[in-house]
Parts: sequence; structure tokens; C-alpha cells
Amino acid sequence: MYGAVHVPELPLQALLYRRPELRRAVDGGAPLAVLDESGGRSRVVSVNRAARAAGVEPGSRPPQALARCGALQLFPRVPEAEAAVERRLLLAARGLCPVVEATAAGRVTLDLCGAGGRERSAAGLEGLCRRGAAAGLALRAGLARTPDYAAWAARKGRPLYVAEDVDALLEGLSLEAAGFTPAQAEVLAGWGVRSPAAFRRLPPGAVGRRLGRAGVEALARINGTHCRLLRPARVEPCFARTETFEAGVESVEPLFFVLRRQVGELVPELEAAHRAAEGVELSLAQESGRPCRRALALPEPTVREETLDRILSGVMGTMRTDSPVCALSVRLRTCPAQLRQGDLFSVAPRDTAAFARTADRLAALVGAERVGSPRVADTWRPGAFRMVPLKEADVEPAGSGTAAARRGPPWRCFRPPRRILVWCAEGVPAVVEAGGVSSPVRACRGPWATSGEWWTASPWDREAWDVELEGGGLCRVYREDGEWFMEGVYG
Amino acid sequence: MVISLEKERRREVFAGLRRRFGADVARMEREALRTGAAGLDAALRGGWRRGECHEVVEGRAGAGGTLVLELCLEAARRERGFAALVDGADGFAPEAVDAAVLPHLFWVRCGGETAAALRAAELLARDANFLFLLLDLRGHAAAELRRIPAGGWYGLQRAAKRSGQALVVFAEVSCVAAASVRLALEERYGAEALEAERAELTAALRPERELRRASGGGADPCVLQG
Repeated sequence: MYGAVHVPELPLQALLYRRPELRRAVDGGAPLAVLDESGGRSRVVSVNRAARAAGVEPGSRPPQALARCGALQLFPRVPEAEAAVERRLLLAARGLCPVVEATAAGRVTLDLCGAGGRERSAAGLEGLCRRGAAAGLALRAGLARTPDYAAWAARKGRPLYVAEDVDALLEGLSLEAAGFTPAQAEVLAGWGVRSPAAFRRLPPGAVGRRLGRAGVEALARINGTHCRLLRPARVEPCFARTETFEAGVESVEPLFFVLRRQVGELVPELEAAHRAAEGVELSLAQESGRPCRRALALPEPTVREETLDRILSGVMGTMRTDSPVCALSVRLRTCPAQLRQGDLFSVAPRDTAAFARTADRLAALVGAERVGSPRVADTWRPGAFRMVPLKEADVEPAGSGTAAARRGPPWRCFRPPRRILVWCAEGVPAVVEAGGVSSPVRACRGPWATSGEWWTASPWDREAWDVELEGGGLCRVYREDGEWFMEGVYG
Repeated sequence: MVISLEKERRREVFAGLRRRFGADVARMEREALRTGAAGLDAALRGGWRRGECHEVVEGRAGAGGTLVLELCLEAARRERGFAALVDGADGFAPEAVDAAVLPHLFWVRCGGETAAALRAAELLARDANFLFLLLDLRGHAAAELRRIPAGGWYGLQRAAKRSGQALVVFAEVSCVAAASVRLALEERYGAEALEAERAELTAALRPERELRRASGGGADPCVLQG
């Protein structure tokens, strides 16, 4: 089986894809037409339903079109948008089967011979059309036993047409649509043959004598006896998108919209390359020339559009600009997509994407170095720790904790340590004065002398005591360079 | 032996509550996150409640607040979940707690800024990845804490309820309008406590409980002593 997917009125759909604000006007019944201005002569190449109902046809000149419909809105063709739509279509089709041909502008043909039968292929094509509709593209698909039949079936698709009966497929199909040149169609019309169905009834020998090889090939195509080989399209993956704005953008809403569209284009790239995003990088080019860029490592690789959209929107929400934005770039760092089974012996955040968003916002709020999961650093320096990203935690059997083995209440520290005054009697702290309040020491433990890292710029050498104050409170104090500090309070 | 005593004590507490409050207690028991300290479980009527706001008031520094905080982290580890700690005054000492709980902890250091701490708590309260949201406001000026509008606390409590988190606020003064349970800690640790096993210290915790309002949200003027 072969499938074909077609973007009808590609120039118009590409325009609406790039400028969705026009969609409201189209839905409201406004006539729209797209002009091709290449070659020095403007002509209409694509029209919407309202314009067609008003008599505007593709191929007409702008004055003719405006004469037929005064309310007609004319827009220039957007080749980049058409290329983006075609690439998106090609990548989405590659998700269904590996052999995809870019048959014509806005049309792809898929070799679904090994795709698991008619029902599964039909379901895949319907899914592709649904995804296209979600992205704002009205697609038509066809499924048939030859590539040409599939292409003709796609014209009838609303959104999918499965060709089972040849006569029903050929009904209503024009000779031009069946691949005849205008000259051939004119000759055939002179014979009274005005449709492929009528052409099919001609005797093959007579067709060969009168039209030559082209006629025989056309007959084989229409009879479905010729199945041409597809020319697979090569698609190099590209995991970056850049959008440049003609005028600087000052509000954030248009940026979010463009970002969403870019994510929508990047996800098919990931799927087609069988890769997942493990990091994102967002850059805003400002008119002032100052770079504004943020990179984020994802908590776990993902190909989900919604997840990437939320994460990137969160990242952009934390970026600050000092002048209008003239370009927006998104780049994905990718890794091979692998399915991983959950681990019985470790626990991870349930919704890693939501957690990544939260962590990113917190990092923007208090600083990235102040957010994370703490680990005690591998050093004897008191109070040393390092922060690591919160990812997974090993599950230990109940009762395996070492809390029972620890002695004394946990302490809460002061950062930075508070400077205090301590009066000693016979080398032992006797009175502690902190914040203007002095208190005799009821009992104390110590001293514990520690030193280290003398080979670095920040060595330490201190003498620590645990002191119980008369007024209540169990504290840890230490002396360093002749001065006393309170490090923390127990309990 | 300690565990069996704890279980026994817990069973007694819930049996008493069942007699007094009926079927609602079964739900409370199911949703409660045990603290691992019998006295604290009794004061909390079974443990920390998910979706509710608890206030732990440490009348003076070193009255047992950090021990309670460590028990929350231990409960998160036991429940195979995560705890988020918004450390207002940046006072948490990772080396002071059991290293096994640290992988279950997400620590946000706010450097003494009350506004930043509240904003961070708001963000974390919307994240359903956490079993516990611990907001440590010890070390912040009492006047500053009392300026926090009641609506802010209720908003935080509602967000935690939607996410199914147990919200625990540590402070030196009572300031949380939305707290359904307030625990007052008055432990006094002497030098001899340094030699005691931590399990003994947790077992000895006996906080005072004030039931500020019913879990459904309605005001309840009664004050009970735990």
C-alpha cells in the first residue's frame, strides 16, 4: 500500500501558518489571496474559499482579482513558511515509514508496504492529519495500492480517502490532475475523452499507436498496472530554529507564540532522527546588541512537545531584556532516545518536567547556586557541602538509616558565623556574650582542634567548643585567629 | 522494640480518636505521614497531614525545631518521596542530619530574604513532586513575619492542598493564619544531650498542640492541649 499526503493551497496555508492572526479573518469569511511576485509579473497562486466564491481564480492578475472582488486581501507569498510547512510534513511522514518521497510542492508519497496492513496504515495517516490540524494545517491523505492512486485519493481525502474501487477513485478526476499535459488533454478532448475514466476505456493498442509511449504509460498509470519506484527524500536533522523579526518585539506574547511554533517544528525533527532533547538553549537578539541567552539541562531526555514548550516558556519567562527583541533562537542538545524502565530501588520526581520548571524559576529567584540537593563535601572543613541537581534517590530498606546511630540533637548554623565574645577561665569558656547579652556557661565540651587546606588560599585552623548556657541553649562556638564565633545552635 | 512501642502508641491514639470523631479518623489515618516520634505523632493526631498547613513554633533558638525538621526529611525518605526545604535564613546544616535523607531533599537557600522565601514556597507549593514543603522562617524578625497578610498563608495552604503536600512552617513566633495545627516546642537541651542517641531525643519530643481550625477550613476557636 502507498499513502499520499497533500497540503491543499500550500501558499495560503503557509501564510496562515506563519501569520495565524489572519485565521480569524478567514474564519469570518474574508476573501484572501496569495500573490507570486517572482519573475516580474504578479499573479494569484492561491485563494481561500470566500475568494473563490467571489470568482477569483489562481492565475489571475491582481487587477483582475480586485475587479472581481473588491474586498479581496492580497498577500505576498512567504517561501520560508512554505519550506517550513513542507519540511514539517516530510518529517511527520517519516514518522510513519522510512521511505517517503517529496513528490511535489506540498505533497509527499509514503511507501507503506511494510507498515502493518491497511487498517494500521489508515490509522497512521489519520493520526498524521490530526497532528497537522493541531498545528494549524489542513491536510488531505489518500491510501491506495499504487503511488499514483494514492496521490489522486489524497485529493478526495476529507481528511483520508482509502481507494478500494478504481471507478470511484477516478470519478470527478480531471485529465490534468491525472498527469496529462494541457496539450495531451486538448487532443483527448478532441476525441471526446474528457476524464481518466473515459481514457481507461480506450483500447490499449489504439492508444499506443496514436499517443505513443506516453499514452501507454498513462494508461498503465490509470489502470493501476504500473507501480513506480519512489525516490526517498533525504532529510538532514536540524535541531535549531531562528526567527528574525522585521520590527523589534517589545511584548512577550508574540515571543511565546513564535517559541511554541518553533518547538512544534523541532519535535518532528527529534522523532525523525530518533533522538531526544536533553538540553535547551534559548537566545534573544536585542536591538541594543547585548546578548541574552539561557541554557538549561533537562531533568530527563524528552521528545514531548508539551513538555518542551512548558520548559522553554518557563525559561523565557525568566529572561530579562533591556531593548526590543529582533530575533529568537532555540537550539536543542540531543541524545539517543532510549526507553527506560522504572527502577525499583530508586525514586525520582514523578513529573520531571514540572520539577524542572520549578527549579528553573527558583534558580532565577534566588540564584542557581542556592538551589539543589545538598551533599556533604568530601573534606574535613566544617560546614562544607556541595549542591547537586535533584534527580534520583536510592531507596533504602526501612530501618537502614543511621539516624539512630547519631548522637546529640542536630544543629542549625549561622551563615556567616556570628562574631561573639567569650571569656575563658583556665582555658575553658566561662562567659559568652552575643548580641549584647552575656550568659555564663553552665557546661561545655571540647576543645576540638581542626585545621586543613593550608596549601590553599583559604585554610582553616580552629578550636571548637560545645557550650551550654545558663540562660538556656546549647551552642557550638569556635575560636579562629584569636576571635570567637558562634557557628550554630543545637536542637 | 522501639518500633513496636511506637506502633502500640499510635494504635492507642487512633483508637481514642475513632471513639471521639468516628469514620473521619480512618481517612485521617490513611493520609497522615508518620513522623517517627511517638510524642509528635500524638500531638499531630497521627502524623503530618497532606494538604494541610502545620506551624511549628520554636519559642527560642534550639528548642527542638531542627530535630522536627530532620524527622520530616526522614518521613519523606521513608515514604519514598521528596521534601522541599525553603530555608529563609540559610540555617540548614547538611552535615547535621543523616546523610541518607539528603538525596530526598530539595534545598532552596533564601539568604534571609522573607519575600524571596515566600515566593519560593509559592512556586514549590504548586509542584506535586514533593511530599513535604518545609518553610523555615526561623531567624527572621517577628515584625516582618507578622506583616505577611493572612491571604498569603491561605493561598499557600490551598496550593499545597492541591498538590497533596504537607506544609510545615517553622518560625520563632506564631504567624501562620492558615495553620490547622500549631505545635509549640519548648525543649531544653543540656550538654548531656550531646551524648544521647538521636532516637532517644526524638522519642522524648513532647510538643504542645494548639488546634487552630478544623481541617475542612472552618474556624474552630477551641484550643486543646496535646
